[in-house]
Amino acid sequence: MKRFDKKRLGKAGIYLLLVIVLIISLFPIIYPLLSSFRTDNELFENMAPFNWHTIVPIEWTWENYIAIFKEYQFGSYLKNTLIMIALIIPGTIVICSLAAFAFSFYDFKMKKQLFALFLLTFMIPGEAIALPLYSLVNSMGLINTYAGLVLPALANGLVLFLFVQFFSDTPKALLESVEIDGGGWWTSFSRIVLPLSKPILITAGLMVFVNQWNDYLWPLLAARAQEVKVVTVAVANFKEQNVIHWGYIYAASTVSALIPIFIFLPFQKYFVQGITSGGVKG
Amino acid sequence: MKQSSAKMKKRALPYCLLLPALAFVLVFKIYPLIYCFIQGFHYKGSWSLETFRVLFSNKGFWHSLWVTIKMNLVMTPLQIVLSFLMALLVNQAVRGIGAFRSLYYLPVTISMPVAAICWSLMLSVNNGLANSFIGSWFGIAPQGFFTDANQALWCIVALSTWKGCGYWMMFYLAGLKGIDTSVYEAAKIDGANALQTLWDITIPLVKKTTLFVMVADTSINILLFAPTQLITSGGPSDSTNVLMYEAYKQAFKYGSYEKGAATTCVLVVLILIIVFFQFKLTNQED
Amino acid sequence: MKRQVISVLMGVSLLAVMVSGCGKKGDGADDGGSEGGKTLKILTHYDAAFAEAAKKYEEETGVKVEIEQTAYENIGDTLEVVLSSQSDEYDLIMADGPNTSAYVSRGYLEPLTEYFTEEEKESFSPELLKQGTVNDEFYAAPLGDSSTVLYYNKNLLKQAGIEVDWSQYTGESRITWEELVDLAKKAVAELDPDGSKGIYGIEIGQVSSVYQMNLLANSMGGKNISDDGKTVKGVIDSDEWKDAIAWYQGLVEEGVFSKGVSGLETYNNFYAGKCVFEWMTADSYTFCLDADLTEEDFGWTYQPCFEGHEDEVATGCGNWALGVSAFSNNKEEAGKFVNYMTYGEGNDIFLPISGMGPNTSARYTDELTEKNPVLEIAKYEAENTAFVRAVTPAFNEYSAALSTMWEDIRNGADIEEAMESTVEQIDSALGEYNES
Repeated sequence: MKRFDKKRLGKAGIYLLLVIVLIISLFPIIYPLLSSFRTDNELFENMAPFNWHTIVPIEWTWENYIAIFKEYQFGSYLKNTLIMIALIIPGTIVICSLAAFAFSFYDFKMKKQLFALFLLTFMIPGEAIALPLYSLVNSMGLINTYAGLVLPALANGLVLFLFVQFFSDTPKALLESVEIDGGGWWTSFSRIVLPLSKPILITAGLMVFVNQWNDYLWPLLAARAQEVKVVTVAVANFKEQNVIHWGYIYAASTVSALIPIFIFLPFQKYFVQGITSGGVKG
Repeated sequence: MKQSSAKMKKRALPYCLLLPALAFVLVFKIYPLIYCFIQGFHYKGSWSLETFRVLFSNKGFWHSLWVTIKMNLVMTPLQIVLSFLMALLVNQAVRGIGAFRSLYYLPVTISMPVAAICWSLMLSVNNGLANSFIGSWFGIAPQGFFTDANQALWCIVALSTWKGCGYWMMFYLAGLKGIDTSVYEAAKIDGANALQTLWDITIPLVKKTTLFVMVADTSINILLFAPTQLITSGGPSDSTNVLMYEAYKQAFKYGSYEKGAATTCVLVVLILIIVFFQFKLTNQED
Repeated sequence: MKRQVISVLMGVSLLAVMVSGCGKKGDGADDGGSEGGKTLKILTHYDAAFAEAAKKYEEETGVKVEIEQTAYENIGDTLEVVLSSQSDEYDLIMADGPNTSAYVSRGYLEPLTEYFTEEEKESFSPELLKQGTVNDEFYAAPLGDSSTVLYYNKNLLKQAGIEVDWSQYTGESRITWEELVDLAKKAVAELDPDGSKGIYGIEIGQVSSVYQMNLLANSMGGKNISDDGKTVKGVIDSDEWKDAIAWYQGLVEEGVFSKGVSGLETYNNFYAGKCVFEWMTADSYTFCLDADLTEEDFGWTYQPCFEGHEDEVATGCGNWALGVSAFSNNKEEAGKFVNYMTYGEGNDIFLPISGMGPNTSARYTDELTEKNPVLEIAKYEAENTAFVRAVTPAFNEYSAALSTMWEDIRNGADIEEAMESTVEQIDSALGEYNES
């Protein structure tokens, strides 16, 4: 009996902690979320003194959401962003998984050095190389194209690293048996390695999604035309020279925060599995 | 004859597989980086160390370097510890834990400009939620937060930690999941308490994860300047003027790309040094 | 074994096709409209105003102008990257007035001499002409002007029981800052005695910006930069500046001016009735209307002067200007379009949509002043009190350092220290330009 109580107490404690961390995680977001349902004037009128209506709208309105989609074509920016990501994710996965396959299952000269080179890319600040990268992409004639957005993002040191980690748990003996049967690398890759890699594929996909979803500087420089402009860049339009449309910013932020969350939720189980190097065993 | 050609093909195979990735890295990452280093060693269009001399003789540079180091000395360990603790928490097998994991990850998915707006509103000196709250509930005088030279940097640390921990938590969670549960059972039989188990078993077993998180987090944090740019513009009194922001201003605002490039070189070298020592340190313990 | 290599190559080329295929879609727009007439391109946040003028221009000349929209805060950074890589992407460069000098020193702009007659040039307000001229060469033609004006909230003044005869104030005889501060204090004491409502006395529209804050020092007789443009030592640490800074800092500490509120938030505070007075620009009138205020709710008057400095009052001026990119392949067409947009008919289309004040007193039409009556004050100020910002290729560095100083002053920094480090920073930037 006593043991049971202790267990229950422990559970309650865990939930208490979970909720406290949850509040800290979510609190800064709740304010803009609620503010997206009110007009700017109402927002500023109720800023002080601090009361219930500082946070919660008096009159709920969809006005901001309607405005950003109708007047500011937020929908088309969402579409552009999703197209960009839809191109980057498979591209990154193909390129990085092939390279990781080589690193994991073959010995070759300069292996260590090449791997270090890939890891180095993780430490290169995008802002620092933005100028030469712009010149390069411009000379290729890819400014204001999806190619200009997609190509520089394809080689991703982090994704490669995750793939290598994941593959390292696949028993080499399996591959050797394929070879004995006369199968080539493609057979090993497509029949053995890939089928085991579902979690890492999802993880890599989600990571790329979140990174690209929030990327700002490069799209700003490389995709200014209306046809390729992405969400993060478009949100800056709500900040005009003499006016900030706070409500629009909050509405846009809410939309752009909800989309990754809805994509993330169903996959979170795989996400963790994907980073777990031991995930293949199960 | 046939044998050797097959062998050669086999030798060429890994390079073929690497080729696409390598090509993209070389073209879109390494080439611009090399270009950046070359620019750093130029002064007004010709090869020279003068740019570095100008940089190093500037008091502002050393101040920014110090701000960067100060911020990272606190922020990186803080993020590592907190994300590890969060991972321990969401590793508990209770109902609905998946939803908690996802919600903890939410700040990561919020873009920095949005996060900056949320935090600067929350911590606004005048009508900010934080000041209203501590004022009306605890009677504490309004704090300066982002406008106070002694607090602004730590507010940025708080913001970045809030935004970053969910990300690293996931890696730690994966590390924890990778630990064989039989190890814990053995410890239980030996009569080890929770703290001992944590210290003697869990932490050593996630060392690989820690190394990864440490290296990745360090590189990201040393280059972090978005909160500075979006909220404080380096102020008050230069207290949040991190070096990467300085590099950004040089390149994007002042049109002196050489100086910006030289500053970036310093940062990249700084990261390499720190990462080198992190590798050394974790390997030594073995 | 060959098959393996082939399949890799196929994978890569498939990807390349996929990606470049998508690229083509975006490219299409660039080539459009090149049959016969040429296409000019510009990056701007005044996209609606430009689009309207460009439509007319194409009808008249057959030259198409393609407008690429970007957010106000991104124009500078984007142009810097594009122009520093010597890209010919934009034929027309829209530059914030004071940036002209920096762009010229980096070789981004083409002289406009060919496209403007002396007479046309002279027609612009002198301070705008000064802003667009570097080393006696004309590089950037003003699209419009701006001016600083004081707005007040009629409802709040009424609630506080304060009556002011605003009609007594003219350009020659303004309300003084000292009187205004008294009014503000009285009003706040009445409206929000314990400070719980968060009502301020006076807000500044572009607080901590060089554009507006320097005017305080200028209105006490301080200059922005030495006459030869080579130093700020002895200029921004002069007694006039010290007096202005001390006056401002004192009033921030008393709570008359706000602290920690960003420039654009102060606008929202004015619309929401959270400040009694706001010192804004002439075009703010339009934004007040946009925020559902009417002339019942707010009024305006000339920018105040300091007591004892009545004849030194300095008001804001300058606005975005248009130039021709040094890397353009269509310089001649671009130059003609600059003329059209700034001197020609295009400007008549541009002004009412953009809300800018006109670039010369001759352009203050009844139509414009009917739409924005505040422009009547702007006209007087442009002719009499407009004070140009520092003309220097290091304007960005200058502006960044001084904005930081004003913000630090606002946050209670030591005046002497702040001044000293600002002078040092700006002079070191100026020094680098002086060398070359």
